[in-house]
Amino acid sequence: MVYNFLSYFVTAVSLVFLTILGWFVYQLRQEGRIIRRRSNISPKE
Amino acid sequence: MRFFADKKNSVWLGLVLLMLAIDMWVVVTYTPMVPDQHWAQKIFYVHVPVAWTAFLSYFVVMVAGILFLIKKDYYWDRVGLAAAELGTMYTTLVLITGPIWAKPIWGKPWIWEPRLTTTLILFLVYIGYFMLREFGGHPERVARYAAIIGIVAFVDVPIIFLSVKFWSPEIQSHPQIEMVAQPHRILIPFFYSLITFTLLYIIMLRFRIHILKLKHEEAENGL
Repeated sequence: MVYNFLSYFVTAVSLVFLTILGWFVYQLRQEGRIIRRRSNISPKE
Repeated sequence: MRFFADKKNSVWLGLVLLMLAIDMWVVVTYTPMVPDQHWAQKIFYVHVPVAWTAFLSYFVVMVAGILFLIKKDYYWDRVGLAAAELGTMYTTLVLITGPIWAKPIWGKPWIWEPRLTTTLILFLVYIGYFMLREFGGHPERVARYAAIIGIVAFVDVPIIFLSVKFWSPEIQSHPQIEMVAQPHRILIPFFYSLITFTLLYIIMLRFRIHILKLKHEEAENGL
């Protein structure tokens, strides 16, 4: 039962931090794309 | 200029990451196990700060909405949009981590009780907000209507806070315990977690406003 409760905790905490990490990655990619367009350098897809 | 090229921002983020690592270490090793809930109760140290951050973000949407309507400055429109996005992301996390915690304790992930229902209503109002942003038509009108929705939607936040008090106790599932009555080993990590998530929110909000400004400049210059 304790291990079961541990899995709930790990799931909730992982979800929060992975979402926030994903948000940062998405924003950094958006920023990178805009800056590359400004510099007139075509992005490497 | 890249947001994290500014040393002040990268130091802030580094500090917040360090604080988050300490926060999780404290939650795992220092906070007491609550009988019958064990590890599941420790979701509290993430769930409540995330909820606080969501409500703080919607407060920023309201303030930005008022300032936009007064000053007609699109900077405040961008602040409102950035805060609405973050607020909705955090509300989504609240609505997911809550049921994860509720499942082992209540036996089911969702109960139609006042605090959960009012939080869901707030989330749905903001789904409407983003639909308006996307399909509202003229940008000036969209900004104005979005500001008004942001102001009106905030009315739900104090209702969520007070819902455990002014609805009858029989339909409540949330415990009505005063936080100050909690032992230090719960209280100190809890407030530390609140501060850490608030600092994380501030850097996220500033980063998002920076990107919305870049997008706005790009649209203006026809790049």
